Amino acid sequence: MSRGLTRRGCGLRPLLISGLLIGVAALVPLRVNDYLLQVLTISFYYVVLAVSWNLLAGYTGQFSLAQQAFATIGAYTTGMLGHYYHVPIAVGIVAAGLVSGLVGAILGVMVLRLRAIYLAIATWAFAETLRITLTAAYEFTRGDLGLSVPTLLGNLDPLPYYYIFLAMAAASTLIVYLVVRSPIGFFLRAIKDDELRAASMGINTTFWKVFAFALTSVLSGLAGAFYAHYVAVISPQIADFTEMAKIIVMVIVGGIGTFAGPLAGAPVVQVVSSFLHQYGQWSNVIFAVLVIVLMRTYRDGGIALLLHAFRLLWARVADGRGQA
Amino acid sequence: MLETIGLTKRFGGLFANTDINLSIAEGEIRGLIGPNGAGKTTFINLLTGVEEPSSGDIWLAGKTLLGQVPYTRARRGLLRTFQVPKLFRNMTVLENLLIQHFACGQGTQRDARLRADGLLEMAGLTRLRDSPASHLSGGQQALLQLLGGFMVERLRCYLLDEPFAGVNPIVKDTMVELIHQYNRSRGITFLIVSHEMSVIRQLCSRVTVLAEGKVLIEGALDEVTANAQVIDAYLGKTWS
Ligand SMILES: Nc1ncnc2c1ncn2[C@@H]1O[C@H](COP(=O)(O)OP(=O)(O)OP(=O)(O)O)[C@@H](O)[C@H]1O
Ligand SMILES: [Mg+2]
Repeated sequence: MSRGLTRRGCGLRPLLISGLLIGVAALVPLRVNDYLLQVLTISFYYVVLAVSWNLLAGYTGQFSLAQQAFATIGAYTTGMLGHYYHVPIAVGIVAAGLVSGLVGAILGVMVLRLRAIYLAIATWAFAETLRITLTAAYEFTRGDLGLSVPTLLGNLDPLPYYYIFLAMAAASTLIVYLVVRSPIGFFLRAIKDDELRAASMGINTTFWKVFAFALTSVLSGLAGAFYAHYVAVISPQIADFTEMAKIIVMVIVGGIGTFAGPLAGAPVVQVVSSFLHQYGQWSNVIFAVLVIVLMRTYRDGGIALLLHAFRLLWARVADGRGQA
Repeated sequence: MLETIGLTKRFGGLFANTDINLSIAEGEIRGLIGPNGAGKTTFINLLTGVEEPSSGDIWLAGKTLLGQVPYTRARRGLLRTFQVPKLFRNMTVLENLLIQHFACGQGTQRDARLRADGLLEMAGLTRLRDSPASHLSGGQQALLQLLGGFMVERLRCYLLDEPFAGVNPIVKDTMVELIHQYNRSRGITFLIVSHEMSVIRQLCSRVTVLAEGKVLIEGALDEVTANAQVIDAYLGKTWS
């Protein structure tokens, strides 16, 4: 293949890094206890949201603050269908993807003409409205009491869930990777860079912007549905803004605009945040400080930091061999 | 090929274009000159659908373009460059050409790569093929922008907004050569906005002079530059 396409974060290298990370993740259960396994399982849910958000914000430049809302829509779609109509779980999950995608497309159309900060505010308002509606309509949703949802496998053995969620994260990453590498990826990057030029050269910018919203909403909605069938009780809390903040932190920690970033950022942040949980409200403050420190010292994020360290190490090793 | 009828654009109280009737034959290279603020860029924006005209009509190859959004106009073979070169700075030089193929090109990706390599070769940019477009000099950016349109087989009419501004003489010659070549071999129609009379003389048999949004005169370059009104229009602006 051309060297041109293997540059700038959309070549084969991100796929290799992602594959490596997933490979490592597949071996993790051999070493860790059940608690950590559950924390990591949840982190794969966040991987899907972070990878989706990276496509929407990082590649297309649509800085949405509603990624968690689409997961919520997915979770409640399958939850309510199961609760009220007793539809099979598989049907509920498919419906979750469809409903989230549809709502995502509609939101995408509504914010088409909005620029940067206005788009962020509008999507934030959408997510808040959703959260408040779910809380207020407690007669249907059971609000903060929580809606109970049957579990995917009928039991709570952590190991199968771990692999199911890992597969889900890997599949989402692969889908986003294929999109980014295809001509669609060119269109999305072009739209971020200069929408007027993109349109002048024949790109249907409207369509692709809505497409990015719809696709990332489908992925998030599916992830939300799986999440619901894992945690067994869902509440409007999953639509809270702190969830969105967490997604952004994950992408930043992994490295914003890098492809494999979210894949590494999500588990790290999830593990650290579950550890910080014992400090209650202070955990948020500690997190904020960590992010600021990382942004100030290493803006390219954790993946780049690791690669950098690896390269230095490799140079040492190669050097040593040369001298021997 | 390209025709406007009574094309008018108002920005509030300002008439940026007033009743412009312009007709460019297929395979013609037309020059569009005029002092700063004459409305040349506005005219190109109207043709490409970036702005909607206040009144008037635009025809391309016998069909109206009115009501069509920019991307469908591009797909009908009407492409443009921008006065300040617009490239995708986060893409490589090669990718900047490929994306034009993805946007509205025909044929396989393989063909597109071959074509892109050929164009870069002709333009002397092969060495920079895999560099980010942001590393190019201003002149090279203008050149790359021009090459973009040539990636598309269906290109019929190419609108160039001051393609030679800030371009060194060698690159300028390359650009003139490319324009001549695509005009002769593929019969592409050009509308070229420029202040550079020497280049316009090399390329255009006819020029249209725009001043304060109106067509002042149309004819061979030497004819129009001898015209008293044209001299007035240019000098009036510069001196006042
Ligand atoms: N979007 C806009 N809103 C308001 N006024 C505008 C707009 N675009 C252009 N104008 C005005 O219309 C007039 C024509 O501008 P235009 O850019 O078309 O001139 P031009 O011939 O391309 O000039 P130059 O040689 O400087 O590029 C100018 O007075 C300009 O200020
Ligand atoms: Mg202009």
